[in-house]
Amino acid sequence: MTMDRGLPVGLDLTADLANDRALARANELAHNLAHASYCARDLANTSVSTFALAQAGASYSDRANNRARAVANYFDLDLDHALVSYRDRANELARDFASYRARASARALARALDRVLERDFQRYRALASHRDRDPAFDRDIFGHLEFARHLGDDLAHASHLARDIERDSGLIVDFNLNSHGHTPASDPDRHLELTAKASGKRRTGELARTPVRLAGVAARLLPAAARARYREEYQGELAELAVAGAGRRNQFGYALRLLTRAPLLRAELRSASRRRVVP
Amino acid sequence: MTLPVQLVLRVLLADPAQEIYGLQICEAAGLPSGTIHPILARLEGFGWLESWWEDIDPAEQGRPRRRYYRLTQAGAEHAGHALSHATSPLAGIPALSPRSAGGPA
Repeated sequence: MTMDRGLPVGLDLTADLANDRALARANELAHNLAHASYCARDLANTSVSTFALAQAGASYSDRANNRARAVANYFDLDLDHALVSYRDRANELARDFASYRARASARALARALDRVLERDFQRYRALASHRDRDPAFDRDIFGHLEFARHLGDDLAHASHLARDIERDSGLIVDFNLNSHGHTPASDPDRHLELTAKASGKRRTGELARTPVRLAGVAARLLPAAARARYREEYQGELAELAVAGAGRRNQFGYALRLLTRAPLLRAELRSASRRRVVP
Repeated sequence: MTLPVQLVLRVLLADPAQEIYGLQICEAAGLPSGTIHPILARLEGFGWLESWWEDIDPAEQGRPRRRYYRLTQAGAEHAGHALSHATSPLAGIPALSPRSAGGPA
């Protein structure tokens, strides 16, 4: 009689203990999330003037994103909807982090662009002085470099906005699907795709759009007769680079150098054209 | 003659009969993108170099056509002569080819 009653009581106790452990785990995760949130806000309030700090922020972002996802998944599977506010908070936090990291990358990109343009500008000035060219040549180069610099700034800004939008939309899709149970954690391919989208990573070996556009702009700076040829040649080289496994950053650097040296190529093409005209 | 021009000429002279495209020249000469096109345009303007489009169907091959370059016969002679009289430090370097880049065999 005692044993007959003892078995259900034992099962109840086991279930209670399991629930207690689940609750304790949830509380621990929620505490960790709150701590991550505190750290993130502390970091965001700190000055973001150095790239090292931005890298630290990106690292924090990755950890907080993973933790937020873990919490959201855990809540979906095991606890009731009373804790949904934590998931919303995690979603908001992840968006803040993604945006913060996008700003850091855009800033680094813009600095690299500025360095390349400045170095090339100095080189062109030295070249113009060395060859004792007409001052108009120098002014011409300066004008094109200014144009390229503005274009680079605009592209960096556009790239920044595009990354923001892409990451935010990826995170929202991720969290929405998780919240409706359509993306179980056991679907690794879908999870990988969403994670890659959320972290802004792109596969190497794909021809990126921005470098192709930059190459198109470089070709537009050339004399009209040579534009089609060089546009196709530049795009072919970028495609070869992509096939060889060059990532988006390498392709961008390649196209940027094409753009910054386009005025020199234009001068060469014009000289060659004059040589052909004058016997 | 500037150092980049010498580097490009050395790559082209390594096998004057070989057709070679822009990215290959960049890699073989160790020059960044954009540097070689003005040089190639200058050499082409002087008649030292000839260029043509690769004869393929891009849709079939799944990649754009390449623009191939090769020294003309006169260009190879002029380039050899010019390199032998070049005054830059590169003239003192015995060989600059992918083979020598890896060190002794």
